[in-house]
Amino acid sequence: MGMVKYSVLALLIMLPFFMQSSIQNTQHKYMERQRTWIEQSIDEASYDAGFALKTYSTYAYDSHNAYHIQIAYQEVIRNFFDSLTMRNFRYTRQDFPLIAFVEYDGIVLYNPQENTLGEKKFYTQQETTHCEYYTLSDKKWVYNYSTGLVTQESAEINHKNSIIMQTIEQELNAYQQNSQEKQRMRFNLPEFEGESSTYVFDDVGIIIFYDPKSYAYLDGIETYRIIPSGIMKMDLAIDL
Amino acid sequence: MIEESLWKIFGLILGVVLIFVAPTIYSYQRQDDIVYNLVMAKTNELSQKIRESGKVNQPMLDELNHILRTSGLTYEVELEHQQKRFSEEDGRMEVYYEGVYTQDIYAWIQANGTYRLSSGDFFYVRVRNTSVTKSQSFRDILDIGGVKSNEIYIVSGGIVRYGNG
Repeated sequence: MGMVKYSVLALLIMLPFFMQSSIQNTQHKYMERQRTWIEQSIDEASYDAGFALKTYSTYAYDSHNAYHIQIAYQEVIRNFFDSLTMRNFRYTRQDFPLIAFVEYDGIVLYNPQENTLGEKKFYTQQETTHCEYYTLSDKKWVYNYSTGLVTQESAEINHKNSIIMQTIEQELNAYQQNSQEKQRMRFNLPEFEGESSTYVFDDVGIIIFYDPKSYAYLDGIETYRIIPSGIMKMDLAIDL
Repeated sequence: MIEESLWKIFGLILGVVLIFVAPTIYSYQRQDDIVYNLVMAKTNELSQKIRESGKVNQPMLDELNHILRTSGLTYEVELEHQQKRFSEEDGRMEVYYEGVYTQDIYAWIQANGTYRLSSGDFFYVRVRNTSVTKSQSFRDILDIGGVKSNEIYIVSGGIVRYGNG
């Protein structure tokens, strides 16, 4: 009989651990589902904004030769937020501290909370004798200070990408410094696939920074992290 | 003597819970996860197809319904089409959306065959289970429900990328 008693007592001791483990698994499952839903919603909304960026821009679109493409900023932003609203996504503008437009020749930052657009920061490299202007194409423009002449030269792709990357990072850092919540914000660029960034900056795009702190289940988990949704690639099925 | 019997009965109940009930709940929960992932994948596929082609027709919906039926549960499929419209106010062009919902879309498909969308509209598919899943019913029996809402609720959609509806 003693054995039965001890077995039952052992089981009773173990039971709360089983229950706890089961509850934790369930909580984790719902948390992961919610996270997937949030990420999917933002990815889709970013894609929609990317589509708007391409569709509603003035002039015919050619990502590799788009000097005079006019980004319809408000239309792109509206499409992003409309897309979230229509998915029953509850958000405030505080959840989106920054939206960045990666343009053909520079980067423009948009502050969703204040509804303000910053000035375009061009992809440039300044030297003592000249200044190099880079674009998403494989060409660069060199302005010579002494002669005042502008010449077109071919750009080395990895160097071009590093200049664009530097410009974007500098702008993000400057924005972070000027932000009221600078202690909390970290604007990290999306992790790109592959080791080389040669194919990353070959088209205009949008980077959405999102702070999921206000969501149930996610509360406190990623409070200090802002998730970029990635630079949207414009490889659409239809050639506009 | 009575005490001994009580210990035995108690031990038996605990044994049954641990050997039969717990693994069954666990396996039902895994089944739910598999169904959830399947429904999510198929719902995403349908919404992508609709938004890329700019149209909805019966075969598209039948394909989703067929997959949903194989899961052994019943579902409610909601369709939502937000048509982009423009209005002018004080010399400024305003954008607004006009919603067309499940019943109207189905009625249109019945009458005309294909429901067409325009590029720039929004289209969403929402799928939720209306019958309880096995793990839900098991939890209800044991009254350890916790989550009472739909176990499966998927929303998929976004901007329509092609179409001149």
